[in-house]
Amino acid sequence: MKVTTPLPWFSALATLLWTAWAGAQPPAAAADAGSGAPESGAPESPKKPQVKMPEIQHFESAPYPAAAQAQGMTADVVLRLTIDAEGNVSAADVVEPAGNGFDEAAQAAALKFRFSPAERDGKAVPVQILYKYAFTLKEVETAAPEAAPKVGNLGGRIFIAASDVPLAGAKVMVTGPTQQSVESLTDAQGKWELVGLAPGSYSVQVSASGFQGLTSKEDVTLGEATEITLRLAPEGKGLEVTVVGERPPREVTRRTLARREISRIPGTNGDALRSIQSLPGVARPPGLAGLLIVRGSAPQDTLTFIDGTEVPIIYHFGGLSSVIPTELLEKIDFYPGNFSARYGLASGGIVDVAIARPDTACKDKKGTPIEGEQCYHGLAQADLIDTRFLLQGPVPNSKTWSFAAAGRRSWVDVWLKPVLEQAGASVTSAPVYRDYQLVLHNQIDADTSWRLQAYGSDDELKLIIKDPSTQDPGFGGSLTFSTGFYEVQSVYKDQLTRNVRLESMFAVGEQNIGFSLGTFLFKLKVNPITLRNEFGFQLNPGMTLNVGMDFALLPFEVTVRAPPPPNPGEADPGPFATRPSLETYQKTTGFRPGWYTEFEWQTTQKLRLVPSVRFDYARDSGQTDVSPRLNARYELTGKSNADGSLGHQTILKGGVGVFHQPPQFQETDPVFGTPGIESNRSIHYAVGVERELWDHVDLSIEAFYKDKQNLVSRAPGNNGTFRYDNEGRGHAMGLETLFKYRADSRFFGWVAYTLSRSVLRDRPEQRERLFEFDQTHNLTMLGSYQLGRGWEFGSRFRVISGNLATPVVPQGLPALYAADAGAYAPLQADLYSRRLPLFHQLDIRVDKRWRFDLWTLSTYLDIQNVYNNQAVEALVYNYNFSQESFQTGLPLIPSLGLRGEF
Amino acid sequence: MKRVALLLAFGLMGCGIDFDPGAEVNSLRVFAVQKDHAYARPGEAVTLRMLWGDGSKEPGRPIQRLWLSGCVNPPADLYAGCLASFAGLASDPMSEAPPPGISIGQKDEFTLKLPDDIITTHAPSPDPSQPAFGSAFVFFAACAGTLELATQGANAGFPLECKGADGALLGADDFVAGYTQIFAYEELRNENPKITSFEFNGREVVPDCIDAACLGLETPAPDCEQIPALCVAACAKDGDLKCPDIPFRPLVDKLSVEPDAIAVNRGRNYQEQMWVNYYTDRGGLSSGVKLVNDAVSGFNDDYATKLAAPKAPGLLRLWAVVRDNRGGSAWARLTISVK
Repeated sequence: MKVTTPLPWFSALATLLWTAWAGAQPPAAAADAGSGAPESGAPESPKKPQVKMPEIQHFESAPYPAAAQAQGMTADVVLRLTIDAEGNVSAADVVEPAGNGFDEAAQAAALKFRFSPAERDGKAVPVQILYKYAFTLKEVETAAPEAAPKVGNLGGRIFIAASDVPLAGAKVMVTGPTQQSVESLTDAQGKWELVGLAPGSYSVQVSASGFQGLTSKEDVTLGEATEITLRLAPEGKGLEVTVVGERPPREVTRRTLARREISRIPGTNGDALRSIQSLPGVARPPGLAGLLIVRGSAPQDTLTFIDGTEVPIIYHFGGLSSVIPTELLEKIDFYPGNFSARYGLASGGIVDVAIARPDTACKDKKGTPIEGEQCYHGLAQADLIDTRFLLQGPVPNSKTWSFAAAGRRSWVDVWLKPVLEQAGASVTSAPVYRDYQLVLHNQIDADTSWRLQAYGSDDELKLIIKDPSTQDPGFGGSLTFSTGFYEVQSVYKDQLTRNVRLESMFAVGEQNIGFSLGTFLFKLKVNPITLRNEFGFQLNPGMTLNVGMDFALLPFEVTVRAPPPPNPGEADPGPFATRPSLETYQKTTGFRPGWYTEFEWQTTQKLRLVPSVRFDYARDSGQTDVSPRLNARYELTGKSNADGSLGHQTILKGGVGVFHQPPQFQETDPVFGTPGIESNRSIHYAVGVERELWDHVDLSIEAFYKDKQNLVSRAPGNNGTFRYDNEGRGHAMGLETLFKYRADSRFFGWVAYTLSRSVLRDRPEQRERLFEFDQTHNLTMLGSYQLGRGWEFGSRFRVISGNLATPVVPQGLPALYAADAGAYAPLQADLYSRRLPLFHQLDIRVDKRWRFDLWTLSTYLDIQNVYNNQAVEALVYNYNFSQESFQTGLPLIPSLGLRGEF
Repeated sequence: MKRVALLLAFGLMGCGIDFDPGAEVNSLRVFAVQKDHAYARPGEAVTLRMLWGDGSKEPGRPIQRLWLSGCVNPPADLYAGCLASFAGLASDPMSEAPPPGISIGQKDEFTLKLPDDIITTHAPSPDPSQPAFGSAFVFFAACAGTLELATQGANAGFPLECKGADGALLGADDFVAGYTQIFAYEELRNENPKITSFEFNGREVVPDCIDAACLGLETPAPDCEQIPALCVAACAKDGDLKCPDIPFRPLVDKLSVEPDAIAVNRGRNYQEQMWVNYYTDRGGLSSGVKLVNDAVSGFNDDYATKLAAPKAPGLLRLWAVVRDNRGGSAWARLTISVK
């Protein structure tokens, strides 16, 4: 018979992570606004900082939770310990809970730890460390116990901080009670082991070139093998900044990218949001359209938030760049489906962008962090498209306040106008865009922060088209197009009590969209007031309750003067030029409150369930929608094998949920639409697996199915407009595969493949058709390698199914002459029934960085479409639709950028 | 420098498609349909005129013309809602009587009488600023063969097809079909734009014809000695835009630009949007469409296009069709001699 007994306290695995904290804890993002990673291929070797880690002097053994022990449960609890300058533990926060009483036991014990103070350059400083407290059980034979050996073993693994990347070649020096030292080196897996050690207390010192050293106190017990896991932080720079979170606790899928990856993906000019288009489940938008098409959903089905506030646009003109520059991002959460109940009013996906806390860290000339001081940082960058600047640092005479100010303006208009004039082009204007951000951050304490930030964006194009379109002369004359918004936002985060967390966001702003062409006009002004609050209650170690509300008060004023626009599935209405315009004007206040309740339920150590329900009300459509959802994750194999050795984690995951999206404005407008129609409804199903194949390599496979119901559709009415209802249906399904090499000091890359099909039936009496942006195959392969001496080279290759097009009828007359307009109206065949040729494109990027004493100069060359493939973007016809041809996309586009930063 | 600029511009904006320009007439074409009342009244008779030309290599071949009316207030005021209403047409619509409610014409002019109840049978617009209206569609066809009822029926698209002498279906080069829409209001009127003269190579010249006078008019050869401005040198290549190009335009009476009454009622100081379509049966044009009047910024004097003469001597015809965005149109024709 076997029984289990808890191992002594010293079997706890201490994991220390030096977080370069002195009085505050800047995120790694702020540690390097430029790349977040060592710039050159070979790890640069700045002077080793004079850092002394805190050493544990008193360890308090945590009692093993009786119920858990009875069930044979083991657990790891990761704590964040705040150690003051005297070495006392002032706070122990659970970072990775394990439930079942483990968290409380570990917390209580950790608060009684005592350390020798951490020192930097001989000065005692407060620090925060991550500490993993492992509760393990050892199987003991009850019969005829063997004689206890007189020695024990000590070993473990060394990883790079904030990652699961093993650190090979690290030196481990163990000094025992007799002050004798023995050494070991880590192997390729980061493993090391010393056997036959006498019982007693040992000091374990780990060192590796390019990394901050680390010391840990461990005890060796007779007859036992003590395994510890330690993580070394790189010197000078943070290694990696997570911009899309790691394992999602509340969603089925959340994609993960490192900041270095974002800034180096070829073909994106280092733009954060454009990098999302390289992920599985995201379709390639046609041409220069700045659209985000997620899992076969229409672009308007995916919402974008900045720190919880919805913004009307995410890209400037043509999708050239995002409205928030990469340098200001802390992270991007991208949820392609089955997202948390904290988000509503969307049936596609969610992009939530978080603005980073300003960087105030100081470094010496060699990049070594300087404790106790705060510094200013800035950058200026210019490329062919725009110029930008960023300045950030501490607010004078304040220890807790910091600021960041940034701005950007396109200058295509400056150089393109004379070029077009020289070329004799009929259009000689170019669009202008600008964006700006101001952040004031107050880190009140480790758990409490308040931020006041303002950001905005403006895009503008004005011109007179003196040569109207031959296919529709209505597209001529004065053209103005502008989009703009600003938000002033307050974000407050507080750990109110040990078990209660609050996140609160309040924002006011203005959004403007304007378009006019001849007598057509669209003008929208919204002054949104948004409030988002979420309380997280940890009910017990295995269950957290999240309750929240988001509230949007939307005073708006809209004017539209245009003919009713054509909808997919309808006969071409003919040229717009002579169709009579309808006009609507509304000045009212929309009101869209939402409430949600969500449980994070760790039912067992392996199974996590997240049931939730959300209620939404939209006053503009008069609809109340109830959206229940359930997500689940099951750890099939853990990071530790049954024998205690480290393994490769396998997660099974899945979810099902209801998602509602209110009708678009024009669909419920009394003039252009039909008041009283219902919300679009979509049911998301997803099932998948995440598997760590090797130490650097992950494989993720996920199948999804979206059942689209109650879709808003329309039929011609008898009053010159259309009658809307909810007769549309459709579905999207697919398989997403991501084979990824996680970023290490030299390389990152992945292969993403999506197989999908998205169909719609606009009316019950109509045939099912392909969704406009359906892309059967989408393969993206990319990688970037640091060559050394500041050089980095990357490339991206994409092969994607061609766009869909609607051809004219194959027989008979292809078009009718609309004599009033002087142009032809095509007689169309089945909608989106033609698949255009395959898209393929190679992009490359080369970066070079020069480091000087006080600043850094870097340049990059980003070349899109290296072999100048004439990718087909659209089907085009001659004046009477009797001849067809392909509209090809952009040719080879080189973009050269230059950046200076300090 | 210009070549560099062109390369840069095309590099940034993508390359164009190499189609034959629509402004160059080398097939059977219908240029315009003019209504004597662009906005009519209920019960009023409206006369329509079709301006067409044949730029094919068989000048003078017989062209059948056909008018079809009888569609009033289709769903959503879209032409597509009319096509099914012609399902009862006879297999030989040119000689057999049309079904009730449908009228057929076979000349360059066609007159129809709008129903008295054209407005009352149209459901009220959801836009309260729009005065009550109704509309009627009139379809037309020009065929360089024989017009017959389409074998696939009206539901497949346009109800007629055009067959050659050998019975083969003729395509878009020999068969043009289209539609025009007549709006009826109780009070509103829209007059057609007014062309007063022509300007060629900077000099005012008298066009061959304006509006109705152009229907069936033969091509007069200009007297180069009397009017040297109308005689130009040939280019080395047909329509070569590097050849010295000659600006020309119809002279449009600015007073014929009317306010957009419906927009004005909403407090918008809009005028009609007006543009001109240019055509030539030989040579090339720098632009096929030019803006004449912008609804917001007003009259655009720079609406001339440029002619690049053909390689071979002979006559060429220039057409200019001026349209407003409320269904009004006017045209003029000028014949040029290429030496």
